[in-house]
Amino acid sequence: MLAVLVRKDLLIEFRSREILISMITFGAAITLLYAFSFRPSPESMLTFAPGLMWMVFLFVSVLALHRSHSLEKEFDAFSMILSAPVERSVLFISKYLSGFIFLVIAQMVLLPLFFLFLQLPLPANLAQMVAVFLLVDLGISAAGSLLSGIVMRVRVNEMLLPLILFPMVTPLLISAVKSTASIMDSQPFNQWKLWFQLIVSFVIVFSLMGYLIYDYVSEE
Amino acid sequence: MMYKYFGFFLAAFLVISVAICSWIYVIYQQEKELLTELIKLNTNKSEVE
Amino acid sequence: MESFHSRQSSKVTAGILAVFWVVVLYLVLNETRIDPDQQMAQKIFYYHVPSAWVAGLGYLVVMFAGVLYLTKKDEKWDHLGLAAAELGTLFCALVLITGPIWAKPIWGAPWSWEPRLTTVLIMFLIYIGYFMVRNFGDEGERTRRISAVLGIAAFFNVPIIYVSVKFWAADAQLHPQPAMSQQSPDVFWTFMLSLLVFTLLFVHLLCFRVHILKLRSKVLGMRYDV
Repeated sequence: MLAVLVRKDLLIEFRSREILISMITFGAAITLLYAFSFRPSPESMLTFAPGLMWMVFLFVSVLALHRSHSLEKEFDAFSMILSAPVERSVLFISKYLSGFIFLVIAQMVLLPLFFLFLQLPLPANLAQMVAVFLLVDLGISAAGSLLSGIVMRVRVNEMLLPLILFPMVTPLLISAVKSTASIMDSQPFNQWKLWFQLIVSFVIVFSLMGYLIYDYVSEE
Repeated sequence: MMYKYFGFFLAAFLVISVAICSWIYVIYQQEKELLTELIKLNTNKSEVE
Repeated sequence: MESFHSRQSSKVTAGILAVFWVVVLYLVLNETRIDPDQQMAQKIFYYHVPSAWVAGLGYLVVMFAGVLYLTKKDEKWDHLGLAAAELGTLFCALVLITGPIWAKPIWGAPWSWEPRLTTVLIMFLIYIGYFMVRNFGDEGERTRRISAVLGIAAFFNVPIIYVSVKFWAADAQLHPQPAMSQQSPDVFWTFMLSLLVFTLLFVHLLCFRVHILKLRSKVLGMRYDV
């Protein structure tokens, strides 16, 4: 059942490619703006780069999260899904996974662009970086899917989603930036272990919460 | 009262007192409005019946 | 239904609160010792810390009210949640205002990105979102449900926010950490009294607000009957 739902979301996306194109275009535009707005020395750029990077991904994820839920509102698709014999929590997981996949795909394009435009050196330990990125994406998608589901039923929801998502996601953002900075600085894992643990805690807490609470959010 | 930074203390105290009193005032007004409307609705209802 | 303060118990509580508010002020000004460095500014702490305590209490109540609303589906839990959210956010704002008032003379700068302040600010922002959802949602069961969920999610985030901010700027650990048990009696008992007054105020205002929300719900129901 879960596979069907995820496949549906992905299929819709691959037919029209709306979400991915808007994510990548918007992300590239912001990265370009960064490149033009300030030209610091390479050392300062290295200090700011992790923060700037994660801000881009956060902004871009809002597009995906919002679109993913608002698609269901067209033609009242949501009520039809709800009338299908599928557990609501499974619905949450499908949104969670498809959001995660979109974010990862967008990052695969945006990250090289980011490194290129801002002339950043590649980190030595790519495996660590990939692991951290995947986990943080899970975190953003978990919190985002839950909040997007909550906010979708309310007017003015394009504005409300970032308004609520950003404060909630702050601890994840801090941990992501610190971890990325440490990795790019080639620090050993022990030095940034705490941030990694925080990311994992965040992912666990919000995934569980989403799974347990989404039921109540999606009732008609 | 002759000690340093008394102005800051006074400012903090006043902010808190004014904020709490304003809140009490706002909800008190709301209660009054609701009660008058409730009475009006009740009298309307009893007229209809 | 009658007015909240027409009841004897409410009048008595309100009277006690008014009296003790003045008593605490008197004690703070006259009986407690003067800190040699901070002098009068230090006394803000008798109001700042209890405000923070009430804000936290309020948000805790929102979480429990949310859980109760989702499980029992009784409207009264939603009233409790909204009332507690309003009070929690009011006192949260007071913490964010009195903190910088204290910090300006003592630290030199009104704000710093240290853990407690930042956590309180983030919670405040999350609750602004909560009120916007309430406002922009329609007057129905669905808005109440999603508000309950938001209240629960917001509270579970607090420990994570706090730990992350604490280690984020390890150098910015400027917030004073007085150990209450080691303070002299005049400070300790005045602080406790202030804490008690604030808690009583919270409970009284909570009951008052819940009463009004119940009244409002009744009026709305009748308005569309007639």
